[in-house]
Amino acid sequence: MLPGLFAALALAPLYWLVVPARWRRDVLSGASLCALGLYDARLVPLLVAVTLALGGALHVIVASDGRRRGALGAATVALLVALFVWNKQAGQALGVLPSQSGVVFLGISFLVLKATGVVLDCARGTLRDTPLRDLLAWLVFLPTYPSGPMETFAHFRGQASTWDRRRALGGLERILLGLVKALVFAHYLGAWIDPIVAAPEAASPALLLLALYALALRFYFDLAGYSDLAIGLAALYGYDIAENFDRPFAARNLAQLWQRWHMTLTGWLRTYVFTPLTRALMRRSGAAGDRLAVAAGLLATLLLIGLWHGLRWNFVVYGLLQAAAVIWVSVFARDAGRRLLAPGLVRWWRTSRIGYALSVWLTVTFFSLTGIFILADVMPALRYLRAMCGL
Amino acid sequence: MQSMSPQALREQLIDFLRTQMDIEDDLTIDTPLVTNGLIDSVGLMRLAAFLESATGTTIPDADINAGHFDTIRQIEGYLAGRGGA
Repeated sequence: MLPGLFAALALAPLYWLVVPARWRRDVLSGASLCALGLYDARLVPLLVAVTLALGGALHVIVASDGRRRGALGAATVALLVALFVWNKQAGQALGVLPSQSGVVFLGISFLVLKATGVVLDCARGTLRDTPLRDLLAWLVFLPTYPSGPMETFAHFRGQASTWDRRRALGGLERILLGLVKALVFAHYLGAWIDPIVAAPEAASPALLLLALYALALRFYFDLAGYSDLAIGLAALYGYDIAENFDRPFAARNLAQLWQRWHMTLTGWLRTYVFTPLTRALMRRSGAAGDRLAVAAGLLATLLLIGLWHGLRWNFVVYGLLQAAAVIWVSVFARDAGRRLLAPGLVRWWRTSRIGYALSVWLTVTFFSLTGIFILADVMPALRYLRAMCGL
Repeated sequence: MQSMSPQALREQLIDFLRTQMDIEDDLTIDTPLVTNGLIDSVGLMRLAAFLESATGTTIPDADINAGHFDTIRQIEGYLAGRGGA
């Protein structure tokens, strides 16, 4: 990663001095493909083929009408999902760690989600114009290609790569911040946590608990660090990219935490899964069933967040645990509080600083404890939790 | 489709926000509901369902966001634009 980053930093002045404004997007597409080709030569024909196929499919979908448009959209999404599943399953067959669910091709998970979004937009009629040149630039844009943030096509396409000294300097700051988060904090936290997770019987319950809080921090520094690098590098080349994290560990409940964590991914799921599914169920069930509809929408969304990490049972368990907690917070907690607790206590919990601090602590603790299911398979994760409880 | 005056809709909307969304803070027509965290995405779904039921307007999925529903004033403007109030 570092050689690529340094090359991108070194080439930035040349880019701004030499490349005419009208060619900048194409130059960035070519440079992104070259860099990805140096990492894995198979990516170049694959990405070009996917872009051409997607562009063709979008053209046909937009030109179709009514039911045919919906069927073509569904068929294209099915092909993209098949590519996602194959990439994950084949990657897992390579025998990598559960925490690194493995892929055959780098970046295919994000590519599939982005492509699925534009297919659904075209099928719904909210997007009509998808030139191949812009599709390619958006799909292969190197800063965001490997791990996001997932920029929407409309936002990316609406931008021109223009020089802005303040943005470029801000980008350099973000790159530095991202390096510190990902290569220092996440790295050293990981080096401390991994041996503890590998042999939980050798550690005390208190240390095992502490390691899970550290694990949540490690996930944050890792993901937020790479997001900072992507946002900073994009800014250096003249693009504003969506933010991915917004102080998730200051959230007072798990629903809020998920709205502030990996926001471009959760935003995608909200737009294309949660909202349409929940509303369809609400329309069918009427006002009496709206809570159940919201719960079903949350269950599907959080389960997909789990499966996003890989097609393994530990990720299913992770998704179900997150879903159960978010459904509790979003659908049932208010009523339960009203029925079971004194109104003054509910009000104190919601408005006092101590109530806020306790809420944050409970939220972070749940998020940290369940994080073990991201790092380890179901049985080792349960063994870890048993050891943590002194059993 | 139910017919309702803008004033009646505002009263029902405020009542919905207070009773169903538990918004106890001072609520004005310019209070940011989504960006201030008073309503989350689940609340938005229920708000959209309430507005559809109260006005008879169909609200597209893509429109359910803070851009349209962050304040009571925005909600009223959005519904007026769709002919719902």
